Amino acid sequence: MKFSFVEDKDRAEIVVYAPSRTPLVDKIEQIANTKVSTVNAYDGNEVKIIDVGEVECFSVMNSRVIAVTRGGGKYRIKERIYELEETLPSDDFIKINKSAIANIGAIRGFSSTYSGGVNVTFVCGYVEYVSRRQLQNLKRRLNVK
Amino acid sequence: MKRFILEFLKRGIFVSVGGPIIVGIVYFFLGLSGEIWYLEVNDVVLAIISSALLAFIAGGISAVHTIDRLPVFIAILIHGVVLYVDYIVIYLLNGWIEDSVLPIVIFTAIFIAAYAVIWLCVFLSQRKTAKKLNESLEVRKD
Repeated sequence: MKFSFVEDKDRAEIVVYAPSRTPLVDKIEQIANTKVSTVNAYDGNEVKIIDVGEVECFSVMNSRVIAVTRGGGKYRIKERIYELEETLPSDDFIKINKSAIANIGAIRGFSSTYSGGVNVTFVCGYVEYVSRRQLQNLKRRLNVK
Repeated sequence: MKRFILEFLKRGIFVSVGGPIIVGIVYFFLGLSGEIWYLEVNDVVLAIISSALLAFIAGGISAVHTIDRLPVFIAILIHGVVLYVDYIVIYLLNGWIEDSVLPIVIFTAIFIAAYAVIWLCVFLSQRKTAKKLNESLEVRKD
């Protein structure tokens, strides 16, 4: 089988051209669909490998993607929010606004605001807002009608 | 911001046609009832242009609800303030409400009362949503 690599900073995609579906094609698909279980977290010059289950929320702060962990720690992440959205386990994580992804298992509760919005409070005390568009997805996900 | 402006223009232009049509209908019924039987050209021109502008702003500002970042009530508040200024200025300009304190106070009170009711409905609805989400979260944890 011929192999080629095209460097593209805006796209990460695997396209397989083959006469039929073979075990090798299945294997490539499996690798492409693998969800990440850890992320590289940066704290100054120090790099830590964090289990995604330890992250309560990924959020954009000052134009940087930050992972808020169970202990309340905040680490910089190099991946963009849309990349995390594609690679994080979709059963555990959900987008709550255009710049934040929440770990459903780390949500302490929801509260309404006087401005007519809904906020999420995480176990570590971190608070993030739920956008109107994502509120519908969240309701569907939590089977709320 | 660019997206909001484009959406504002699109909605505003679409709705602006309705302003002069509504003015025409209102004048038609006022004529039938005998309230008005004579209009000056300048009054008609002013009514047509200003009602188109009123409808343009009223239609355009509804684009504020497409800004996902804004909580519901903030979007409603911005919508309400712009509508209030839009209506009061155009109404006074055309003499559709009397330029004295009492009519303006009554108009303002009706506007505020309507928005207070809307705020209460939105707040109660979101409180109910938050409660349901919390209940669902508890079930999921169990």
